[in-house]
Amino acid sequence: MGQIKFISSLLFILLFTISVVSYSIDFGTDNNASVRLSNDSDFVNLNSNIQSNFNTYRENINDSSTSFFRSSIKKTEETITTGNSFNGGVSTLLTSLKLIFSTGKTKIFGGNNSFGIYFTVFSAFLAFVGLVYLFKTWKGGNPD
Amino acid sequence: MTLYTLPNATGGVDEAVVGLSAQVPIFTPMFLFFIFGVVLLGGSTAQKKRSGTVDMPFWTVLASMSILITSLLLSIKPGLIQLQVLSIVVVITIFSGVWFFLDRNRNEF
Repeated sequence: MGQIKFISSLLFILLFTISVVSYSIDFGTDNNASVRLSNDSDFVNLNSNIQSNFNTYRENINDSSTSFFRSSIKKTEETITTGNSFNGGVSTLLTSLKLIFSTGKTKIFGGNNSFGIYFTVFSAFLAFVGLVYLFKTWKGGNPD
Repeated sequence: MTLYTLPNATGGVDEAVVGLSAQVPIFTPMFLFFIFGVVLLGGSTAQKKRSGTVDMPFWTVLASMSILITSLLLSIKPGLIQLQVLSIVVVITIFSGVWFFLDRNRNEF
């Protein structure tokens, strides 16, 4: 899985989450259902937080693009001295993914923190993979 | 000794099912689990016969979507499904989506 594949997977996960939650909430509202997902504040907050993070992601991409187009590489320089141009707002996407995991943990395991370590480890691993792919883009090499 | 009071079927099938859910609260989750299993096992087995391989994340997403739509339909009438069950179904759907999208190989979207 390359960097573009990884980022697009994260984007699709977040878009899928927004679609599922929004559809479920709107279905209850439109059909005047007796049980509505909108009564669960966790999902409403998750939806709005992910959408807010998407706006931040867009701004990060704008900033990255601007700094990349304004940068230059000198004749003897093999690579630029910072990888900021290529971070592409990955941290924002991973933050959203962590929100999804924490909401899912709350819904399935309740307030019991005994199982939380699984989600913590998994999200930390995803963050590690994201950082390694960023490093690959900046420095070169194959992190697989 | 009866396990539960038989529902009154004179009010229609939906009233009977509501009565059954009131008597046996696990009825709706087990009904959803049954649909999940049928779609997951049926689809994956058919794909295995047809192509020799099984795309489990794909069938998990499809099975999750099936129980999500069923849950939403059940949520219209009071007494059939609880908010907690609906929440867990939504979470299962999202997690199966996470598995699906992180599992895709090159050019497989």
